[in-house]
Amino acid sequence: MIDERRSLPDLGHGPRLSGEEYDRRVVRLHEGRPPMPGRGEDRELRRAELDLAIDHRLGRDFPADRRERLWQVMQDVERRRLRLIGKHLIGRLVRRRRPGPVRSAHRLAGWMVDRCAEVLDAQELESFFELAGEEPALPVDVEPTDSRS
Amino acid sequence: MGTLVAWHYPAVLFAKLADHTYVACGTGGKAWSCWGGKTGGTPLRRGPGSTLRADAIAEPNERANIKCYLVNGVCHQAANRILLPAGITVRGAKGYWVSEALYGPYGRERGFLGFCKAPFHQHPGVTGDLPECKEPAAPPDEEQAVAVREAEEGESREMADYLSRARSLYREVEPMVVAEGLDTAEARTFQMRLFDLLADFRLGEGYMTSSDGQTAREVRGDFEARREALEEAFFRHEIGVDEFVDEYNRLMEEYQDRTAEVLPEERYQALFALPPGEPVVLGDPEVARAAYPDR
Repeated sequence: MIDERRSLPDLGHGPRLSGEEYDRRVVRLHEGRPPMPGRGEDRELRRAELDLAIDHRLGRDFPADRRERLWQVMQDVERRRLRLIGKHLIGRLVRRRRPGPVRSAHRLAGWMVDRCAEVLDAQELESFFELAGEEPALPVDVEPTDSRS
Repeated sequence: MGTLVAWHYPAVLFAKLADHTYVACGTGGKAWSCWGGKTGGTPLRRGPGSTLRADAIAEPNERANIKCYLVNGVCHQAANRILLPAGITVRGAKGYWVSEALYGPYGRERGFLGFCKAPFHQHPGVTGDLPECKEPAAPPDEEQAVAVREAEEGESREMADYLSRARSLYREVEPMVVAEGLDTAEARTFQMRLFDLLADFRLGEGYMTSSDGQTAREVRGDFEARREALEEAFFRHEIGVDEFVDEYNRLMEEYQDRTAEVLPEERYQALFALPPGEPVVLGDPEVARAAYPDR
């Protein structure tokens, strides 16, 4: 059990939710919800998830106006995520031996971090995404196959 | 109840800049792949939870209905879904906060035109454990656990009696702790009652009413008051983890020194099972940093 050791720098946004408290609140937020939330509920849920992530990664006193700007970024990210479905389907049609739209998803992750950098300073960005000076990346462990989903 | 364990290791693609995560039960009898491998790596976090429910959430393909990889989520979201019965997530895995920002902790359910819908079926009614994940049964209650430990370790009946009385004290304050927590005065009273119990056990009933015993009790009371002040400073964020641990250890040493001054050597040794002049400190900065990673 190795991940709790790194202490986060003080960003001046008040105390943070501890990791354990973040887990508890995220689980509480989702437990008992219907399997497929409606559009309005999905939006509320995403906003609540963002606020919890901010409380844990940046601080509970992170300013409301900047929270709102991050929320706008995440709304744009969600719209672009839905576009990945097209890439996914095309990938399946041409039977690319990849688990999904790998390059497009990585480009989206990079775009998301760049957009967040318009709201967060360098230290906040590092803390929010835990980048440790590296490019944002998504885990792709599966070896090429043609039978995904 | 079984245990669910989150595992992680560097994923194959993209220069291993992100971790693959998967879930296994505590016995190792079953693992869920979450769209990747399900062997090797390092345990990240564990928690008690129904392994049967985890298995139902995971579904036979072990992807927890993260239907379209990199569209609804990645292995992190699949693992979080399977870990729901244990109330933990895979935060701390490399790349987690990027995927969390993109897909949320449990993945995005919504698809488009009927494609890539990924409902999160939580199976709240499923309880119990998979046969391969059942852990050795624990004794039915703490009293029995105490008795088992006593038998195993050859402890005396006096020790069993002391532990039983200490348990009674904890049970006495438990409703208050659950309801609204103990205030400072109540917490100190509780600590002193525990100390009295220990002193009666180690030094013999009645010793603490002697002159030396009363002075030792005052020293202990002073230590408790200073410890409370230190803890309050820590929880008010006035001091950091390292300062808290350093100061705590200093207080501990001072307490042992002062007790050694007021108790005869044989009494001191009986109380702490240590000779005077060999103070023990308990605060480990590394452990404290692990317990309070955000401080």
